[in-house]
Amino acid sequence: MSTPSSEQALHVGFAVIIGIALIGFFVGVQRPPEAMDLGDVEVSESDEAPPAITYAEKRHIPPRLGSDWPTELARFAGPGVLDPVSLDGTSKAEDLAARAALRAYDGAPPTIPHDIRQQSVSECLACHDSGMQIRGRLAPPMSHEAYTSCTQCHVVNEGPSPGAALPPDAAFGENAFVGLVSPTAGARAWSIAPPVIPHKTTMRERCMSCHGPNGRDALRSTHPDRSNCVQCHASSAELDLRPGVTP
Amino acid sequence: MTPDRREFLKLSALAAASAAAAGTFAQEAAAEDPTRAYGPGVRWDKAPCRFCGTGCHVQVGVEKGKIVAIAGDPQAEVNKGLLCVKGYHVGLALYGEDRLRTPMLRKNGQLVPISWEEAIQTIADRVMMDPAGFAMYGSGQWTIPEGYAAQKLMKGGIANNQIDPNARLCMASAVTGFLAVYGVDEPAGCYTDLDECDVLICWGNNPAEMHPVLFSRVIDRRNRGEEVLLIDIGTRRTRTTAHAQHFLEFEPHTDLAIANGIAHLLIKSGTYDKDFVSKHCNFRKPSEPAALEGAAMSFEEFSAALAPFTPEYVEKLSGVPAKDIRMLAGLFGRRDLKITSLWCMGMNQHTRGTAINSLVHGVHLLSGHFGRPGDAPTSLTGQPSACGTVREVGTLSHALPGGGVVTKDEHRANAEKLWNLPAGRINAKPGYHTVEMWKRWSTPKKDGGDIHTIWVQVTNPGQTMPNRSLLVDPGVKDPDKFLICSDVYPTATTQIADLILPSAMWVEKNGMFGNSERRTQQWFKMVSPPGDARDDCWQTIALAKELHRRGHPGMLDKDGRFLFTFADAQGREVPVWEWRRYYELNVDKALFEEYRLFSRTKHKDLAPYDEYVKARGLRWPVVQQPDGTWRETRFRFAEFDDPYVKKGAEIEFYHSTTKDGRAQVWFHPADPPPESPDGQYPFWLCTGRVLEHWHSGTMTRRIPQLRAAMPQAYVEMNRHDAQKLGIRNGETVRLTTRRGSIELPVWIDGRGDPPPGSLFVPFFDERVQINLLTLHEYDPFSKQPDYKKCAVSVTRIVS
Repeated sequence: MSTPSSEQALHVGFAVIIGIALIGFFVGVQRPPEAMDLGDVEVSESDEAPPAITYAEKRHIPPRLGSDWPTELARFAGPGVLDPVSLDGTSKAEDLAARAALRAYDGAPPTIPHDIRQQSVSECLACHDSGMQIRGRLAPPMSHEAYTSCTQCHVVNEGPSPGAALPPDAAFGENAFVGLVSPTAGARAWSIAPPVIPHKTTMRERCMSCHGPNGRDALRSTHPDRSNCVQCHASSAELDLRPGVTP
Repeated sequence: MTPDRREFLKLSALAAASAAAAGTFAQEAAAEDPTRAYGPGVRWDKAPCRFCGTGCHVQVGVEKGKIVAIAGDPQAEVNKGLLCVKGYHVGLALYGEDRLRTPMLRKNGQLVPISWEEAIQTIADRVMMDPAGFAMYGSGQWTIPEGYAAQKLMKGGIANNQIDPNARLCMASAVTGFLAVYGVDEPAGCYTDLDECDVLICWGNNPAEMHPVLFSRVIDRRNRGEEVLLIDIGTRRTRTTAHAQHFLEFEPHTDLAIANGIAHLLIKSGTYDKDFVSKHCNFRKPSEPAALEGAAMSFEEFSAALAPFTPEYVEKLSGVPAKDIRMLAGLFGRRDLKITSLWCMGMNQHTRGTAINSLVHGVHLLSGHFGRPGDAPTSLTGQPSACGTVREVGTLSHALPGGGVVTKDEHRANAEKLWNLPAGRINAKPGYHTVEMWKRWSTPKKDGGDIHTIWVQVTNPGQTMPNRSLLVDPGVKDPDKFLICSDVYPTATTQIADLILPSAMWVEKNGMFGNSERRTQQWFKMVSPPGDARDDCWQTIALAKELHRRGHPGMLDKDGRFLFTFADAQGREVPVWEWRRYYELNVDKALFEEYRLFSRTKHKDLAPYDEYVKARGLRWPVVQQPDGTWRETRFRFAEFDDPYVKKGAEIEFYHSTTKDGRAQVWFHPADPPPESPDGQYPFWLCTGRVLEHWHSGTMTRRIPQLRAAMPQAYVEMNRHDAQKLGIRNGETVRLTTRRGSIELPVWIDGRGDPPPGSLFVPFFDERVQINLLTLHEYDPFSKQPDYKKCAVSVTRIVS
């Protein structure tokens, strides 16, 4: 028969361990929150509620989730809606050239700069529905409503066929077609009038495809929070080949 | 400074700077190249697409004499502003650097540039040497006026009927199917059916790749919340399968059993449309000797003939589960659903092509799925004017314009009247169909090879003729034989031609096409052809004029006037055979106005040329209304839309072969194919097209975007077969049939996925000529060869 004293000592030991654990738990839970880092937003020390901040200020406030999250997410995140837009001439030319490289002419459906599943149906929408940027690669959102058969118009720009390349055709030559170039900027009636849309809008109904946060830098709108683009920017009946304008 | 104010200033400064930068950049760009301004300066005009038979309208943007852009035509009912990748890039087809620019004649084995005069003289020499042995091999890509001019030259002038088109290889079985069932060619329905159907059945075709605009027109309805049941009956999984709810995989050639199985269940379960059948149908079976009209049979005989085709028996023949045959019959048995069937080469390139075409029409007639919008059996065509130029102009060896045939006295008499020819000018004996024409060209004269010269226009038989080493190659080696080829690029045919003529293409000339839904379309010349390339139609008229000059009696009408005499608005004759004067008047319009008089014969009425200038195509019959306007017809044989149906008849087949206004529902037995896999050649071989390339690829392979997307041919093989044979993806293998052998890389899980025991090879690649392997066996009625099945072996190449 064991002695009562040793059994009691064991009970006390358990109680101490559980007690310490509980204290530790509650201390952890009750630790006061870290001070919010609001960047250069001034925080009032008074009892008054802090002033409401604008969306423009929000981007200066780092996310407040677990400490590792922001850096991990940042590697995937694209620019924010209100990130500054740089429109210096050089980057615009580069961005337009990069855009044109995937098109036979302005208005042609862009080719696909990545591999696809040959018998694909709806995978395209995973990235191209609302668009995203991953590690510097841009998946533009579709500029038109979702049609069902993406590969009807969009083909890969590098052949998928496996195996050794067949000998090139003799005297095949290049194609001398010179396509319509993209417009650079829409005309303004006076210096600060809203520019007209300098390209056709057929199949480009979703302006934010190119001009939104997942567009190429130099094409992005300075005011993407205004969602009714054609309120101020006029489209062209001629470019849209509307009835009565074309033969 | 408050934060919001600071932010505001920052943003406005940025906006001002960016606006300034954008403006500067635009000005700089304009200063660099003021001619490249966007939009203004580009002239847009309509044209049907150059490629397939869908007949989309494009808007062609032209600047400084060159095409710079293409857009889907928002006013076109066919495509509603949308195109496919080929259509968006069709403008680039004109600008391959190796366009043919000057006529060339092979002298001592070398091609040397010659003048057009010498070229036309050379052709005339070949005709005058032996007019009976001179043939024209044309195309479903001929414009309507081009085909009509060639037709008039060969049937009304040289009068040997030796003219046949590549469409023989493409939709001849669809024609014989329509004739056997309705007594008159071409679909009763139209593309509107695609907007209305509840069920779409694809019989051995892959519209997601071959008719993409029509395919998305159906399945995009799902995005709008509509339900469309898509059933793919096929021998290989394709992009179409990916969108289908049901894929019914069948053993090649057993589609006849499937159709019979559906018909059997409709009758057995009593779900066929008794009212429709009793009012509008007769029953028909093959006759002895075989004739397209067949022999009459009673409904009881029809039922008895179908009795063996139980779902279980059909499963045994075709591999399609009995429950799926019941599912199909169940759908057809429902009157509340609207069912449209589509098919193309799978049913046409078939040694029982006429039979399977007739059977599918039969399933629709038997079940009453006919004549309402959305209820239609519709055959699609692969070429832009297979319907317009081949079937309507009648550029087949036995046909006359407007649906006539040379074997009927009254049709010849009508053509002689409209062409103002002396009675008896037109030969009553049909010329050779395509396979026979080429076989005779490839046979020495002493052995009965009575065709000595073939003039090829707008097609590429050097690549597309089946069993090439039998039908083409011997003629190339025979010094007595002569091959003339009019084309726009060097092709597999120009390589073997003795005389090459550079042609104008698409919007480098005026033109008219007729698409798959009876729609006749018109366009104007927009840019100039390169070098000394000239219109095919001019080439034909120039030959006729040279034959006239040399006194060929057929070049004169009965009043002694040249066959191709044209006058301008003031009534002055214009010598259009002189190239510089060819566009002094609209030759297309002159020819079309003459041709359209033929269109009344079979109620395929065409409107005056100027109506087509205004429209994005019109579907015949186009009938003038009391107020002078011209009204097209969407649904033929249906009283609510077709003006030629008797009032009160609801449905009337007014060209019925039984002369009682009824269509024929056929029974055809399910026979085995001419060649099946065996121990020596254990695989099925199927050939076909891919999305990016159009037919033999001579145009699309010169378009960088399309070539990059699909750079070369391959053989699709099932993963299990590859594993069994130890073949890796991408490995080059040798394919061998009884006719020939080629090497090409294997693509596993590629564009399509054939079942075990089947291979697929596309035919677009000139470097890998799959038609060295294909079979030239053909349907007994349509004479259309079967490119879809023969037996092939696969061997690894051990290096």
